[in-house]
Amino acid sequence: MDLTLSADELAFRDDFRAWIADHHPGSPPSNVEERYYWRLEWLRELNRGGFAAMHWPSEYGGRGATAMLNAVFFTELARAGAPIPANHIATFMAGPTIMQWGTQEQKERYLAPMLRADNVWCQGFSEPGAGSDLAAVATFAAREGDEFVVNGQKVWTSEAQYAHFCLLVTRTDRSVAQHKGLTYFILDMSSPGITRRPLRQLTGESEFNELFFDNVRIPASSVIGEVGNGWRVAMTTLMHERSMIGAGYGIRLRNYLTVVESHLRAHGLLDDPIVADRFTDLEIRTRALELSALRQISEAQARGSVGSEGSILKLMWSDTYSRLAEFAIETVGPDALEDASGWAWEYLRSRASTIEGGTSDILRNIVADRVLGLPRAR
Amino acid sequence: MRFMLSDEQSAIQDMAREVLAAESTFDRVRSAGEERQYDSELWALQRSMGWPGVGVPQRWGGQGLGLVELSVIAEECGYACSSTPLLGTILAATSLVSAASSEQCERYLPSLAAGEVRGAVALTADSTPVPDAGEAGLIVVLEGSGGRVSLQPAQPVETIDPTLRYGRVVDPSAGEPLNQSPIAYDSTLVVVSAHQLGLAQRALDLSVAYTSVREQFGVPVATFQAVSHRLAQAHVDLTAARSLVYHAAWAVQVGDSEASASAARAKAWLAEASRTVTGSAIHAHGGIGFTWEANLHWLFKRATMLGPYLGGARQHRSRLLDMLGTAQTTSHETDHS
Repeated sequence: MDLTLSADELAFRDDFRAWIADHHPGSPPSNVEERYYWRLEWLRELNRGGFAAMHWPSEYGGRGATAMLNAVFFTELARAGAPIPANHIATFMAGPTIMQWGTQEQKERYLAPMLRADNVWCQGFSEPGAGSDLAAVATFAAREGDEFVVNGQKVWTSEAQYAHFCLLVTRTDRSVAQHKGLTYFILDMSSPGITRRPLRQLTGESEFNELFFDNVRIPASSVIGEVGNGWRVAMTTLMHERSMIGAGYGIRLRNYLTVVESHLRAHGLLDDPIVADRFTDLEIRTRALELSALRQISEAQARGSVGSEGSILKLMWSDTYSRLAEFAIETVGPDALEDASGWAWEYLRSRASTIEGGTSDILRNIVADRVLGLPRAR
Repeated sequence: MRFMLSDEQSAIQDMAREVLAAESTFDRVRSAGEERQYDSELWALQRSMGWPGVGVPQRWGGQGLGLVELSVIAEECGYACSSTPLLGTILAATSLVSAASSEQCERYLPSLAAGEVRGAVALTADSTPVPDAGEAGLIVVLEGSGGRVSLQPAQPVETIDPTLRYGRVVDPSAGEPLNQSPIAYDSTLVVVSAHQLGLAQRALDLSVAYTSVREQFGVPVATFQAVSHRLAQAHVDLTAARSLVYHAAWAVQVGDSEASASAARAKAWLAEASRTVTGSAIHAHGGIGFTWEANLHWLFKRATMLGPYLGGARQHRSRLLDMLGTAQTTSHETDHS
C-alpha cells in the first residue's frame, strides 16, 4: 500500500501542470455547439503538446501511459478547471477498438487524424428496439459484392451532428443466435442515404441524434474484426468506454461539488446543520469515487486486464451526481429553477446519468453476475 | 502508486482469514454470545500469534507493523465476528503508541502487546457503551487531541451484542494525562472502521452464497433482480467503504495531510454502511435471516453497536466539514448562477 506518485508520475504531473498554465482554454462558451468546437480545439491544443491520447501507444501518437498516469492527467485537468477534450469517442473507444481489431490499413488511415481532431467520431450502437439489450440490433447490412447495403435506424447517437465517422453495429445474419449475427463497421458519415436528426432532450438542447440509413453503401474493407464478429468488437469498445469513466467522471463530480461548496459558503448556507450534514455526505461519496477509481486502476494494473469494475464506478458517479444536483436545487433556493440557471441545467441533465452508458439497472446486473458471481436471471 | 495490499499484507490477510475461519466459527461466536463470555481459547491463540501487539513497536514487545496491517487484522476479526478482547486491546495499544510518553509506553505497552492486560478506548464526551471496556484492565480516554490512561475498571454494560463485553467509563478524569496527539484518535477511527468493513463484507458474502442456492419458484432467489440488485448495491457501498478505510489507514500511517479528514470519512461512511449492509443481509435471507441460528444478527448487532462508538456518522461529517473549511485555501470564483 503506497499511494504516493512515482518519480515518473510526479515529473509528468509537474510538466503537464506547467503546460496547462500556459495553454488554458479559458471559460466555456454557453452555447452547446460552440462549447463542442471549443472542446475540439482543446483536443488539438493538447495534441500539439503531445497530451491528446496519453494511453495510446507511442507508435500511434500517444505516450503509452499507464492507467495511473492517465488518471494523473485527468486530475490535473480538473485541478486547472480545464475541460475534458472532445472526440472522446475517437480517443477512448474507436481508437483502442481499431488498434485491437483493425487491419493495418485501417490503423494507418484512421488513428492519427483522431488526435488532430480532423476526424470526429460517433457511436452507432443503440436502436429504438436495442437499448440495454444491444444484441437485439436490427439495422441490417446486406452483402452485395464488395459492399454492404445498410438499412435501419440508430438512436442516442451523441455528437453525430459533428461526426465524420461512425462506429456502426449491424446485423448481417438473421439465421444465427442474436449476438452471433452482428458485424461492426466504420461508416463514413458523408455516405449518401444517411439522415441525421437531432433529438431534442429534456434540457431543451440536442446532444444526441437519431440516424436513419436508407440503402447506405459501405465497402467491405470497412468491416472491423470480420463479418459475424461484431459482438466481440462491440464489447471491446464498451470496455474501453467504461475504463475512462472512473477518472473522467470523478473529476466532473469534484468540479461540480466545488461549485456547490463555494455557493454554500458564500451564502452562509453551511451554518444550517442539516445542509452541512448533507453536503459533507456528498463530499464523502465524491472522495470515495475518486479513491475507488485509483484503487481499481492499481488492481487492473496488477492483474494486467480491465475487469467489470468500471460498472461500479459508473453506479457511484450517477448516484452521487443525481443526489448532488437535487441537493443543489433544494439549498440554492428558488432562483436555482430559473430557466437560464446553471443549477437548473445540472439538475435536468443529471436525469440522464442513470441511463446513459449503461443504465444503473443493467450495471447492477453486471455487478451481480460478473463481480459477485450470482446465478444469472436467464 | 499502489493502492492495494502489498504481498506481505495480503499474506497477513490470508493467514488471519484462514485461522479465524477454523477457530472463530459461528458456533464459537454463538456460544460466546450465549454465555456472555469471550472465547478464551481463541483469545489465547490470538495472543500466541502476537495479534494484540501487531501495531506495537518491537522494543515494547510488539511486531512493529503499521496501521494498514493493523486494519487488515481488525477487518478479519470483524469478518469472523470473533469474540475476544482484541479490538479494544489493539485500540488501546495503538492510541498509547502515539500519545503516551516513552515512560508510559514502557510501563503499559509490553503487557498490552502480550495480551496480559486487556484494553479499551473511550471518548470523554460520549456515553456510548465502549466495546471490550467491560473487562478491560486499562482504559484510554481520548479527549480532543489529548487524553488519559486509567487502570480504573469501567462499569460493565449488557448490550444487544453479547459477543463483546461492553462498559462505560466511571470517571473520565481518573488516571494519568497523555500527550497531545491527533494521530491517536485518527488511528482508532481507522481500526474500528476496518472492523466494521469486515462485519459488512461477511454479511454480503453470506448473502451471495445463500441466495445462490435457496430456491423459490423453482429457481435460486438470486436470479430475481429485486434480490440481486440489493446485493449489487451492497457491493458498491462496500467498494466505497474499502477505498475509504484503506486510504485512511495509509494516510494516517504516513502522516499525509489528508489523514484526519480521511479517517473521519471512513468512520462516517462505515458507521452507516456497516449497519445498512448487515441489515440488508438479514432481509436477503428472508425469514431464516431473522432466526437466532442464521447468525446474521451477530454481525448486525455489532455493526449497530460500533456505529456511534468513537463518534457516529453525523459527528464525523461535522468534523470533516470543519477540516474541509480549513483546507480550502483558494476560493473558487466560478459560480453557476
